Amino acid sequence: MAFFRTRKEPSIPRQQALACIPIRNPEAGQHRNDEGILLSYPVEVKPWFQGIFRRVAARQSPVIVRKLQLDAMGGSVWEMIDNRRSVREIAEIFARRHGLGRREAEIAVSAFVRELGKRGLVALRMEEQ
Amino acid sequence: MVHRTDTAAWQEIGWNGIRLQVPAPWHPAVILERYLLFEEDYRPVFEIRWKETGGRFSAARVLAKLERSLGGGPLLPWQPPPEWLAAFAGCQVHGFRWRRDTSGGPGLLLYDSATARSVLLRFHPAGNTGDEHCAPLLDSLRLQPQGKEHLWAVFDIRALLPPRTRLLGQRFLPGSFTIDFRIDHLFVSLLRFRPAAELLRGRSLADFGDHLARGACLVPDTGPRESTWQSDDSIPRRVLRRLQRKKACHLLTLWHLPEKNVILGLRCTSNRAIPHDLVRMIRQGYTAI
Repeated sequence: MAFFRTRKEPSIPRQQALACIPIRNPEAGQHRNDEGILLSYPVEVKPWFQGIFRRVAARQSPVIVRKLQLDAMGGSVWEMIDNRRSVREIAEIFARRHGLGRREAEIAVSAFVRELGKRGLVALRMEEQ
Repeated sequence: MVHRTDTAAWQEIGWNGIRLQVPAPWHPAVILERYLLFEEDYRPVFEIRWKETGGRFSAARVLAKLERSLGGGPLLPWQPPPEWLAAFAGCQVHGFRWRRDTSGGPGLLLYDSATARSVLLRFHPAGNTGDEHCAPLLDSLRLQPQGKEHLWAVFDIRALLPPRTRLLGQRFLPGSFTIDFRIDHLFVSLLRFRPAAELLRGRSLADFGDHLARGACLVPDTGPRESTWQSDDSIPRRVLRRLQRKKACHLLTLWHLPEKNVILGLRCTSNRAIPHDLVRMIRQGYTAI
């Protein structure tokens, strides 16, 4: 067994990723309920599926609205996204608020922001050097 | 003894037979059975690997293997400063300098013949790894003796377990840690959940822990900050669970430490009766830092 374990390098350095600023999708809506925050966001149906979709749903528009329920912690991170704070700054606030270690908060917040990005709820702006 | 300039800025690490102190900004990024890699600001700063050699120890063979794994330039012999060696009287010590791509730094290979254990350490150039950290770190390094309880301390948890404890696995996810052990016939898991205030929002500790109980029944009246689940240990029930290919006996205890915003837990399973004295001892020695 090798003494030195080779780790796969991420596509951008972690420091740079933490410096990115998440930008909210302006078309995303939010609604507060008992469980936290309910996000709604438009998703365009894939082109190859649009014909079937029009017949089944009897709708011409290829856009559907999806919903995502955030719990209290997810909701607090969402509310901290103000198009100015970086992922690192959000993680620092999150760590202080919930008594987590810095790195644990960075991993949790990074994973959550990445999930929001996959759904099109946020985009990431890289901080200029 | 090397004196640390600021003892408050160090953290204690105990893992599978070794214990040492590292600077507080260092974070254990890779944790394996007998290997730890520490990072500072996501850059590697220090790694340590240890093993029981069993047979004859050959420093040349170990260093040759390391050289091949690095795939870079050869390892160069290097004489560590005396303050680095002060803690290792009685051990064979081999210093070297390693290089891989643009990284490089000093390293030590130690062999303790009394316990037949070897330790390989490498310092990386990133981070603040000047002598002010290396010497105190090396001074704190201990191979935990076989006869006494062993310290298991990583991140914000700390536990004392019998020396015959065998590590089975570990999972460190944001908010949830699980470390699995085997002590003779008993399978023990140390659990840690954070932040407790959010996890218990709108529900009790018993509600939170129900999904972890694996069918064991909640023991009533254990108090608002502690919940225990225990399986019916009657012989017919144990036989039935064995026939279902499940462990015969289950015990789960969760306790909430609001001042530290954490929930700790201890889960025990066995095909024999659970030794409650041992469980009580482990419970008492398991804390959050």
